[in-house]
Amino acid sequence: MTDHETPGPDASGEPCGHEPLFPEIRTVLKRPDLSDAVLRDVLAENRLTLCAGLDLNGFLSGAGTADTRARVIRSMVVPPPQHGLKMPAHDLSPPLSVRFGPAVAWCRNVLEALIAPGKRRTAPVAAHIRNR
Amino acid sequence: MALATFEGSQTALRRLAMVLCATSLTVAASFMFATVVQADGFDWLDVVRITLMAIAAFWLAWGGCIAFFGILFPDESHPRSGPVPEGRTAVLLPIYNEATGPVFARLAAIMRSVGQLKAADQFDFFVLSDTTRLEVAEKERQAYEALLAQEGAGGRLFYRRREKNIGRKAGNIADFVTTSGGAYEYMLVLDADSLMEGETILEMVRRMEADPRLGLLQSLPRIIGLDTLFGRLLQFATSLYGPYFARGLAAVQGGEGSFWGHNALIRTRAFAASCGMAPLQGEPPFGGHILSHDTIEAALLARDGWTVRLDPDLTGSYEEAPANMVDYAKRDRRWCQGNLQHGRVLVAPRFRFWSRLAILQGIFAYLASPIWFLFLIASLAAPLAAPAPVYFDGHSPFPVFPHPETATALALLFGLVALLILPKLLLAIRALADGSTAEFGGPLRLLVSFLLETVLTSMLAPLHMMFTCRSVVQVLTGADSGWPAAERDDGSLSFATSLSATWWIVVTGVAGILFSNYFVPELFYWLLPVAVPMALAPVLIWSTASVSLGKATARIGLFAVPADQKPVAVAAEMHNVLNAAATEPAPALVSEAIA
Repeated sequence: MTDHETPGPDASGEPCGHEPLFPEIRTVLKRPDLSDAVLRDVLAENRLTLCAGLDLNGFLSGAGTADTRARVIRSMVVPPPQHGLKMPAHDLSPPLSVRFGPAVAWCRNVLEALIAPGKRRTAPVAAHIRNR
Repeated sequence: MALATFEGSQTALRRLAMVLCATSLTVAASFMFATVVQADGFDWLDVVRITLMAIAAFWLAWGGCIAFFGILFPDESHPRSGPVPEGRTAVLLPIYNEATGPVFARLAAIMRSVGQLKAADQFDFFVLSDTTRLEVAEKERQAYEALLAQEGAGGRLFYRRREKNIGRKAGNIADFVTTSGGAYEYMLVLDADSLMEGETILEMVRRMEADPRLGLLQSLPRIIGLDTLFGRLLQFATSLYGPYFARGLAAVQGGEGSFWGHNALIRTRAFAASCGMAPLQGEPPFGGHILSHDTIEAALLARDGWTVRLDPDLTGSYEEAPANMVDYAKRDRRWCQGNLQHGRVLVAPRFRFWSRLAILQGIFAYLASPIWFLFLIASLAAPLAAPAPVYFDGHSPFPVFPHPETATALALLFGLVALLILPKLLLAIRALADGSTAEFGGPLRLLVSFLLETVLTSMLAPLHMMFTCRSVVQVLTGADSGWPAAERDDGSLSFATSLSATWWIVVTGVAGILFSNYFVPELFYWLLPVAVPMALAPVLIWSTASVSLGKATARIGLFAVPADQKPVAVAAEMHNVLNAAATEPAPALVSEAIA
């Protein structure tokens, strides 16, 4: 469990009015993977660090130079890429039956290979044929 | 393919040479010791002593051979240039209740160093917190937000905290891999006290991109930033001898190299597929999650055919270390438990032979001390248990005196000391010969520093042995008698703290001296080099933890290291960040949340 919950889709799914900002945020942060729902959460839950000459309303309404706006956007706390890998847990101290399984199988194969030539190859003669 | 086969056979030859060399030295030492001990008759205690001596001598010989190989094999440094890497890299900083200011200052310094690269956009930074103390966690969050705003690193710098630190550091990294690992080709694992230069990180990524079978690349971290006498000793030793030991190690381990847990680049997908570790059955200390995960992760990668390599020429990689002997012993106590736990996985399926040897080496790093201690006890007891000499054997009217083996004993002692000191001496001579003494304060200062370092580490060695013995006993019995709390940020210790950490060593040392004086006077002078430092343990620990002594040696140019002459850029940047944080108010105006 982490403090940064995986940002799922917004429960309400309703637009918050800041949608026009989203493409700009994705471009500045080079994060095309950030969905609208995630960005809605980011804007709702986090604070922005503003620069001199650009207040919150100004930023939201698209005011300010590209550079100033980029600086504000780069202060946003956004979630990391959500692209997990599977990590199977390897048992490093397996039971003896598992550990020696391959060795036992190898011994069995060797034994079978050695015993096989000694086996009688002809089928036993049936009694009614033998008594003829 | 042909190149890989050639390198493989070359490594095999080096390994064979090393095993033969160490075995020959061990056999010679054991034979000489057997000659010495049978002078007064041969009994079961002698068998024990010879066995213990053989094990301990092999350990010494192995270390000596690594250093010799480091001198023998040339420096294989590669030019640092190449294309901008294509794969993305996550720089991971796992932390656990650390001092927040320095941790984030180090991260800021690394970020700035990486920021100067053309490939800066290819790197993201993750602070992976396992912090359990809420007040520290809150400081971390504030420091993160401040750094994010300061560096304009939104979308490149992330912070997350696990409330439960399941699996400790290995679990912390695994948590990253299973949530975000797929977005990155590589991950650079750091420690809370790690510092790395951007150029070094970039070069590591280049090397990994150039070799698609390379699963893990370990850099050679150098110790910096210590002011105590003990710290300066460590810095000097790792700077002068460390690169050669690393080169020797790299020469014999080849593609089944070491992972030291930090300052290493890992191929994320290889790590995910190979390095998941199920907890061991049973209770700690030998069951549960694997504590010292790094060695095992290297073995797991090698098991699946990935190359694990140590490149000693990858400098620009730094770490801090314990500033005094007590903190050093505390850290060793943790590592001891982890390494002894490896006894359970030594026979894990499909591990490569050299990986098993590396695991065994890790275990022996801690078992060597109890072996030496038992050897000392057995040697003190042996004269008491020896049969009385027989002067008249009934075949001759003249008395037959035991043959004195003093010359052999002295030769053996000289040999063992040579194994410890000769590699260091050769490295010092090499530095004198090739004119690289300027980095160490010039030829005279280097020579004096070498002599002082040898004397001081020889005096500290019995204390290290005692601390390690205690750690092993604690791990085996599941006990932990605790340590005095750290008092000072600069690493110095008060005399009372030194005494409280070492009183039991003093008692053991004095008891040894008295015992040998009364019961085995023939061993009295032989025991003094070990027992006297033990009796003086608090003084030694207190004085080597002194910052004023450390600074005094710095003023006169003793224990000088390259970092003294040419300050490390990334470390200087870290200090700038720390100073700025102490003097300047937070620059940013923080708005209210947009609700």
